[in-house]
Amino acid sequence: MKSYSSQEIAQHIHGQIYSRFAEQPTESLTQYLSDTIYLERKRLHKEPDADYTNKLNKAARTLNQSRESQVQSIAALIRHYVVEIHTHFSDTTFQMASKVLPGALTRLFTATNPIQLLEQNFAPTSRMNIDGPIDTLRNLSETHTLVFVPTHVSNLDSPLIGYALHAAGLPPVLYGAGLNLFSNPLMSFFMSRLGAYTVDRRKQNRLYKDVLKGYSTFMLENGQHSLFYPGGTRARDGRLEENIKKGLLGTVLQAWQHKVRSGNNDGDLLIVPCTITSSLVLEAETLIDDALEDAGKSRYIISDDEFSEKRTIASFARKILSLDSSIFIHFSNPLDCIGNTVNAEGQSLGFDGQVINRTEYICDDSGNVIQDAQRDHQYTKRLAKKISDSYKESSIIVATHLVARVSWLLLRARHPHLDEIQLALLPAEDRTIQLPELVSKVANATEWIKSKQLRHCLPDTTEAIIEQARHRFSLFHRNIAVQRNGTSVVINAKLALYYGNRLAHLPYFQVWEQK
Amino acid sequence: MIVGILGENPRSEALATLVAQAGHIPKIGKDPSSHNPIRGFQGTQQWSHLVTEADLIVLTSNAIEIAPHLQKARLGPRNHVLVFPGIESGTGLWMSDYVQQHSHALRVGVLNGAISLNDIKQDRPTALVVASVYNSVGTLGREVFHSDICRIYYSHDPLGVEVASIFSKVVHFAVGIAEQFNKGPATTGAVASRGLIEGARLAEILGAEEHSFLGLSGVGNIVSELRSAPAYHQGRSLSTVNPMSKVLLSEFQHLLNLNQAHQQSVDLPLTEAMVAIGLGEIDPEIVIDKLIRRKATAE
Repeated sequence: MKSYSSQEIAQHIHGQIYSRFAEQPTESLTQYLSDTIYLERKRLHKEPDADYTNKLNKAARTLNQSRESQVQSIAALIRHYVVEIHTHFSDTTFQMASKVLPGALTRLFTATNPIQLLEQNFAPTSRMNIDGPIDTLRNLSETHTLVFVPTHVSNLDSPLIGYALHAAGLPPVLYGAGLNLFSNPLMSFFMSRLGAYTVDRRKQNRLYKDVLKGYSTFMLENGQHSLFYPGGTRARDGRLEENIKKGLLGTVLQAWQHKVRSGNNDGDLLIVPCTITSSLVLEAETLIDDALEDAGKSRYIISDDEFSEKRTIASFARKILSLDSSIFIHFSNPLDCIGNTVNAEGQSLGFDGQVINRTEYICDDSGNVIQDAQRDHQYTKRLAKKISDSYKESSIIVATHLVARVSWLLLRARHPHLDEIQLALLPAEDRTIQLPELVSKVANATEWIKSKQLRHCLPDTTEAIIEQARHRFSLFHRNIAVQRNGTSVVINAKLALYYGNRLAHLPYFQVWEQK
Repeated sequence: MIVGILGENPRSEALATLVAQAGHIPKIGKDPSSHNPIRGFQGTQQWSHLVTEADLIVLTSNAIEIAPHLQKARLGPRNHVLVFPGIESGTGLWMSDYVQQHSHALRVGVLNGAISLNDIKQDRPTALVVASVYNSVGTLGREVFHSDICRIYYSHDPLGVEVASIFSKVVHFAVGIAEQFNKGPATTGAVASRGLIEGARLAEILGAEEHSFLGLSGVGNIVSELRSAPAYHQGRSLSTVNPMSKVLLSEFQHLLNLNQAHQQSVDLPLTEAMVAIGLGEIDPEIVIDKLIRRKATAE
């Protein structure tokens, strides 16, 4: 792949942003710039940055000047943002990613500081289950640009998916990682080698978001295999993502249209949904606390979770990777940019399985791309729905999730008038259910799962399912989700809610919940 | 612009007339099995040819005919399509969803309103609603139908239009029963207003917009066809020898099923009562009294 300088990328993005304003009055441009300056200055009160403040001040002085001055200010800010986004991305090391990856992941999971990254002694592949149409994806990656869109529950997902891609013989990918991850030296080392560029989620201004989208579109147009977390951030409540963010996902459609418009027919873009299922989640306790406090927005960037402790990461990784069947990564069948399935050659298939010409969705009779942002928004919504459906179809059911869901629903049934937070605050004696009841309900749910032939990795007997869940919870969580106490079971409501939510979409549990 | 109107029925002829009055070219997708052959407009039995030629396609078929009609039309990715509201009984899908899932067309919308060939021939004004999440479908609909006698309203809530349209039938049917048993105008008013509120409640939990019930598909439909709708006549003449049609019953049952399948299900007393009549579980003569006598709640 060709390597691009920050300047080259910035110029491209500037051209795109400016073309949007070309037909609009100067007031629109001024508003765009002033909103950016206002929001950033407000943010910088709490997090000072002298160099950036100077750039903003310089831009502010052009607000009452000519259109050309404002265009120059926007160009300067775009350059600043592109440098920030692109700096951590090391093209050379990215090209080497496939060679570096196995050792790097091993060391990430075994080391507690960067010096220890030199050690080598661990083979996590044997503990990870990777499946899906791998051969097809491998072939398609030679002729198409693949965009992987995984589920996201933990900061460990990026190294895991990076490793899975390598293990499956798939190419390394480019993806956006939160700036906070780069402050952890261990992760920073690793992220840049996985192909991560920087996303600063504290910046909420439109210009920054446009630059991020422009960066992603540029890379996609230039054939760079990429990865997005379409949920935007880690799922706080543990559920499979349903509310998929359309912003970054929409860049795939944009990039495809740019390619069609320019007549560049090589490397059409395809989307590959993936599910990452882990028996345990390192940040479970912090995430569910956050979900319950409904503080998702104010704590959008959690910097003080379990992931901030290097020793905790290593300890967690060692424990989870010492278990059989604890991590599953499933690559689903690829989709085109509108959400149609594709065949092994990457051709789009219609409802009847017949090959269709997908460019007809965006082109007129003469083959010219028709610009229609509203149509594109609807297409992206359709794609988002297809991705969400794919997650539900391909997610695998594990013992910790099943036992947690049943326990949570039994607890709710015991206290039907309490909400989630009130349940979480109950004393231990009120969070106790009888073991035979749990066994019976887990058995019923298992029977339903098997009758529907859903993907699962459950032990053969109900007792073994419950024991496996209990044992796995006890490996990492201090207050485990389900704690046996003779013939009764004490439920940690928050953890039961968090892990069980992963199965909340199943009709069996939805019907039970309604009752 | 060319508008392909697929199917031959009175609705097709009315639409073709409106298109012509708006200065565009209607072309009829001929149906040899139809009892209403349309004359005076261009047409072809080759629907797939018409589909490639037309700027906008209107499927005039009802829910029962939709599957074979779609097969015949072979809609493509480029097509902009309008359908009439309804529920496809085999799949339980709304008509617009059915077309999207059983053809290659994605840009699909719903067309609804009082379309009376008689009124149109007499130059009486009419109004239609075009509902689609795709603006381009709304724009095309407005361009090809808008004329001095036809006003087009655009809605981006096709689900609301679909639900409102079926709820209008619930209301029409209930009004027919109330009038058969001489329950008086106050009952008609109560049935119409409570039916609308009931429908709006369901629409809201399904993700549609409550205010779609205030539009042509809700209030508009109920008022304009209060005593002319087929559902009204079924209610008016309901008897053991003349029971509720299976199509109507399945549509009403579908509303209940959608409600029951939802986590935040709502009260649908009128629809439940009409379904109970259709299933022969309740005597239509006492159904209105039973609804009135229900325990008073903070409705």
